Amino acid sequence: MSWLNENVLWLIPAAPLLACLWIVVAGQFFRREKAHQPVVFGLIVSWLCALYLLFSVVPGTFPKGDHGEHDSHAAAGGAVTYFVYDWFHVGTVTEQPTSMTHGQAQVDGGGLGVRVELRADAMSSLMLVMVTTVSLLVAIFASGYMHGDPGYPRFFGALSLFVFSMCMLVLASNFLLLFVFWEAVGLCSYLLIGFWFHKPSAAAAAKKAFVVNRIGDFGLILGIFMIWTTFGTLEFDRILADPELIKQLVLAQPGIFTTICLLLFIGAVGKSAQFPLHVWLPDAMEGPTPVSALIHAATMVTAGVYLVARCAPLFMHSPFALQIVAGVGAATALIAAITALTQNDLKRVLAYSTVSQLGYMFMSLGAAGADPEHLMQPAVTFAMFHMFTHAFFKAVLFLSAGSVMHAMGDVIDMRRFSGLRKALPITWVTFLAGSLALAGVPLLSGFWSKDEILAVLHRAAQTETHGTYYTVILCVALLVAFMTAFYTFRAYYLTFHGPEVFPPEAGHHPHDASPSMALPLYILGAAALLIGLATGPTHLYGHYLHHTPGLPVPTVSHAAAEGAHAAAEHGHDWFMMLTSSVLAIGGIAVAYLMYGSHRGAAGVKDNASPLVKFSLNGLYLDELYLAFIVKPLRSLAEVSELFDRMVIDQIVDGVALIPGFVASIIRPIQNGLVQHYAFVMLLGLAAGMVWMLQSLTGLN
Amino acid sequence: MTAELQSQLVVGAILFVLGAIGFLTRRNLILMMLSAELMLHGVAVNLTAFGRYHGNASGQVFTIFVLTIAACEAGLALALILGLYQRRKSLDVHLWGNLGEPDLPQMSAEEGGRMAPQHPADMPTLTPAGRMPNSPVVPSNTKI
Amino acid sequence: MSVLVVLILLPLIAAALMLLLDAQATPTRARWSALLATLATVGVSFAVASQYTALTTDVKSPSEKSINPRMELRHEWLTLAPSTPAGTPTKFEFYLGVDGISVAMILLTTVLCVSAVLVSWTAVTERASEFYAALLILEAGLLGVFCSFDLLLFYVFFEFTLIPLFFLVGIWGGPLRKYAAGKFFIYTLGGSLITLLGLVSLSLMVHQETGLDTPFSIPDLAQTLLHHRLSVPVQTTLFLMIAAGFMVKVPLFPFHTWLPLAHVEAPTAGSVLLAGVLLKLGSYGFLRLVLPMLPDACRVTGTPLIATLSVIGIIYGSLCALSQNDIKKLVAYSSVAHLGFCMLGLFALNVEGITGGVLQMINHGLSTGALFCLVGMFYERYHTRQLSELGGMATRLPRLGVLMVFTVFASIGLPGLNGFVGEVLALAGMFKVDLMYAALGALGVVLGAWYLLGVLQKAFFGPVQLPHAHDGHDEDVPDLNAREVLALAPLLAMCLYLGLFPQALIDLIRPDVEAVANVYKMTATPNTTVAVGERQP
Repeated sequence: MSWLNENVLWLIPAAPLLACLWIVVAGQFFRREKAHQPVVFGLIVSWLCALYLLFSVVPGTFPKGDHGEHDSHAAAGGAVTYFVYDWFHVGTVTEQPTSMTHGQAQVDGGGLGVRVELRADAMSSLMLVMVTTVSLLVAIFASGYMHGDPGYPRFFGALSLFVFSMCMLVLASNFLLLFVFWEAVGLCSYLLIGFWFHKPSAAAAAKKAFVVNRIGDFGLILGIFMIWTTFGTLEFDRILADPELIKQLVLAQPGIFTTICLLLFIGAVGKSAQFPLHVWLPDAMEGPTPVSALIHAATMVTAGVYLVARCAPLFMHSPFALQIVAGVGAATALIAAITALTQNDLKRVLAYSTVSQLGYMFMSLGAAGADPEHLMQPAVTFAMFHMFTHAFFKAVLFLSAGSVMHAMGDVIDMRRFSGLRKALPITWVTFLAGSLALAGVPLLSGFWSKDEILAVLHRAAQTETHGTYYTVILCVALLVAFMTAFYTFRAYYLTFHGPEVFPPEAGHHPHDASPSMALPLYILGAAALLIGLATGPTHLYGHYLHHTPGLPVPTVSHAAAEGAHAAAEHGHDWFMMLTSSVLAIGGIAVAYLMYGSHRGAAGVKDNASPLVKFSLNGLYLDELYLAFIVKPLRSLAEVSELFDRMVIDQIVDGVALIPGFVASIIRPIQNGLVQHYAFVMLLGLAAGMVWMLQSLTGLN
Repeated sequence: MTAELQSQLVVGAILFVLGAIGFLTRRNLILMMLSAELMLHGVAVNLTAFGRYHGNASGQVFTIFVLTIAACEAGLALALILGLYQRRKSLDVHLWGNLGEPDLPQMSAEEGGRMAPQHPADMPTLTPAGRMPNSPVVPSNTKI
Repeated sequence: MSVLVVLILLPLIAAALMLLLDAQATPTRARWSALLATLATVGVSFAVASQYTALTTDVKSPSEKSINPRMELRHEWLTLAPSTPAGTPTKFEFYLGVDGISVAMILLTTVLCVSAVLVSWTAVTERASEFYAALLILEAGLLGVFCSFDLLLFYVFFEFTLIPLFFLVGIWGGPLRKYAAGKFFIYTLGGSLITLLGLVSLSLMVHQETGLDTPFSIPDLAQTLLHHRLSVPVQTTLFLMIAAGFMVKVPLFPFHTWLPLAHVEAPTAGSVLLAGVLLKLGSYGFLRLVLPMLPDACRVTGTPLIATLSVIGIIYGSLCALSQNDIKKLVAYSSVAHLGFCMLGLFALNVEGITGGVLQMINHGLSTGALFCLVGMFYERYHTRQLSELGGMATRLPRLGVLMVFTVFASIGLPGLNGFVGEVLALAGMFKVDLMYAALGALGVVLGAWYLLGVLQKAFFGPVQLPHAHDGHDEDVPDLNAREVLALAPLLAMCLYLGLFPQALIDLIRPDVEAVANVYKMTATPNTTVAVGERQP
């Protein structure tokens, strides 16, 4: 147990990394058909370690076994660290806490240093459990789903590389290391979206995902630089766990925290597919479905939420940034929900729903902007909790969609199949479980987390300072809740109800999920139904998360506030609960009325109304970007290229012509005739003599 | 300056100018060389005149040197001229414009300067001054 | 005999032997001899590196001097008597040495030369003996630049590298080779002459004002200038003169137009060395001559001027790359952008920035060198580099595809590969000085991903599309063979190693970078000879 305590941290990322290396070195060449085995094995190791970490990192929350006395290296404040190696350091990197002079952190002496160090606290443990669980199940599912693909080992190699990067992202102990793996998960996403790279759409989607993410990364890296110049360090432990230092810096440079937070948030917007950078996520569905489930629904896209939650101590001091977060979240949730209403592609419905739910999480985080002192902790808690439940129910939805796709011969257009309830019973059950959870049907996972977000928004809307703003956001959230229930069940009814129609690609007898695919579906389906009930109303998740060092604890000013606060924290906002239940069930009911008894493909015939087209094309945002950003940039590139050839290079060549021009004037003298040369010589001589004589006479 | 010296210097100057004019206007390599010799001797007359004027022998010593050098130089120059003649079978100096810029018009183009003589002769012949004759004056087999 | 002399003479002698004794060699014999010579040079460069590290293990703190060559070899070869009886004589020296930065550049040069020989293996069959001799002479010249610590010697080697490259481009290049070779030669030479003028006037000025008897020794000159600072207007004039040649060489916008042309026309080996090492001569010149000697000018004029040009170069180069159809030209423009990062770092004038700049020099050499190798291998197979004619090459040539993806990611600065650390340090250093330059520079990272991934998307992914010349008879086009993989392996391995463990390289260059950065800490106080008003940029 002692050994495990010390080494559990590095085992979590190392196991998938080793699996990846095995595939790169050897797995490509032999046992190609069994390439999933090392990956699944590695993920099991990671998963077990993550579970162990969950129970060991926060002693006292849970009854612990005989390992309690070995927590000696648990750093102060409930974080465990494991130093791997010194990545690089430049200049003199001080180990002492930043010294303050004139209210400004002393930066000049401090160089830039990055240690590859793993650091786990309550928040990262929860993330890790979620990441490893979903990854493990997805890997098992993929071993059936991807069977027979020529790139089978490549798929599992990239998948395990992704899990490694994601674990490292969560375990990073400083901002730059986080950035490293922030980009690394982007790489894995690129490789996996472009997995079928011979499809032009997949190649384009992969590039789009990476480049759009890079725009976010651009903001993130500038934010990190600014943190570095402000704090003189990049270590989480020294930046986030020291509220006093932050307060001093806020007093010294009031504006800088808003800038830092907004820059960090740009990174989150890119990675978590928020408006206006959300356009890459729907296209990312070109990748294999397990990838969509793992990377583009459950784990990678939540990294942005994680980043903002992690930096909550910084965001605390910038209500303005938090309001922006809430606004962007609301806009995203609304836009994505509107788009999801009319999509014909099952995976795209789910993709937009993911974007919309991520917007929900940001709304929750942003809710703290109304009153950071009191609302930061619940806001972060509920955002993280929604992320947690969302990972499970969205994963099961995607995997079920994958199962449908598998059975339908890679057809995913809902207009081309219907009534699959009988043909695919397993998929039907699990998809239904996921849909109910996503729609927020009472007592299921989505209900608990969504309800808490609505509750915290409700509290924000009741504050005096920014009440109106947050009331609008609350209304958006409620509207989105209704639309979520509607579009989820629209997709459900279109796929599983109605007359039984198969596309020709499916063959005569579509086969349901094979055992290796069914097992993860069942587990995730059960989790989608129950995990919210198990951890939400019991406050298991929330209380665990509150052990995160540096996470702001609400300050209590007087006794009355304490009572109100306690009620709000531990009780439930019954009004919001009721409203959200009604909205969820209402949404489902409307979906049933419209699509419950549809007649197959006829039910969703192309509706030419401009509103539907508007929604179907994602508010024409892609076209807008193409017309206003991509095309102008491409034209600018063409112009630059022309400018380079026609102006700059011509100037250079023009300058080069000057000697030639001068030469052309005096060249005729050089005609090769001896007598001409002699004549010129004679003239020169005569001139010389005249000059000499003149100067001689001058002397006299 | 005495009248004697002056008249001697005038003779030297006349010789020099004659040589210079000859060098600039003749196209025949041998004549050009002879003109150069003439210039040389114009200078030599000057040297002796000044030697006599100053009453010492250095002017004459110089002249002896000049004569000696002129003799060597004549030998060399004639050898070179012979070599040039072997290449082009002509003594026309306009055939040797190689030092000129290649894309400039040939100065003697109107006279067919670069053309080789129609009837190559074995030995050099003296062409009349200045102009390219239409046909060789001396039959090709005549030796000089 | 000093190992440095061996290092420079070895390729030179090999080239001379090839030319004199074996000029009519078969291509096979020529390429094997060249390979042996370059490998031997790699061996010698390792010896230099190990000797150097053995010498410097005990040195931890930055020394007082701004340039500290080790393994010095100083020979006087000319002494001019003083112009006045009271004056001091002027000594010209043959002065070789290495410091951490030059050791890193030497290793990069020797390794890239091996790759250059390997990629020319089958591509060059005409006049092979002369080709490889030119390559070896070029290598000798480059090594000479990095070993020289005497201004004139430095300049001689600096210009000497032009000659073999001129022939490499002019004889073995593409259809426009003569125009490209001439343009590249005259443009860089023209710039360098202004540099020479600046260098000589700097030396003479120092000689006259301080009586330094070795005004051409770079360390002595830098040391003197540290304590005897010239006035800012004089420094600025000298800065502009000396910078002229280096700006063309780097190349900074708007002096870059020779580069795409030279790259497109050069044979693969020429491109590899041109991008990999020759461009670095410019930034190396800035680092070695300009930064330590003209601190006030660098701070007052240099940072705004060079940083502005670099940022323009980064964005403009990226945009030009974006609209290219020829892969080689695209990579050439990407060099303009990448070198912009390097210069941005150097002119941050602090430890982070300069370290980042030096790392970027090495990293760009590795990743762009590898990119040019790959493009060359590709061209050898399909005789086209036009993106519009290609598609799905990763399906057709999987090994080439994998290595291309790897190299592209190294080039766009993916963390874990080499490009990232250099870029981050350069930008971080600049961020400390001026936020806007760093922010605009970082924008180039986004564009970089766009155009390089565009190459992957168009030429390597998607359905297979073959050039018209290869319609129907494509089966005989083989994937990379062992020789080609071997040419790339050291470069890519170093990309990965430097990405994961950059500290090894940083430690190697640290004392020297800190010494240069130290100049700026020591001269942070305003120059007393200057009025306040003049210090406004």
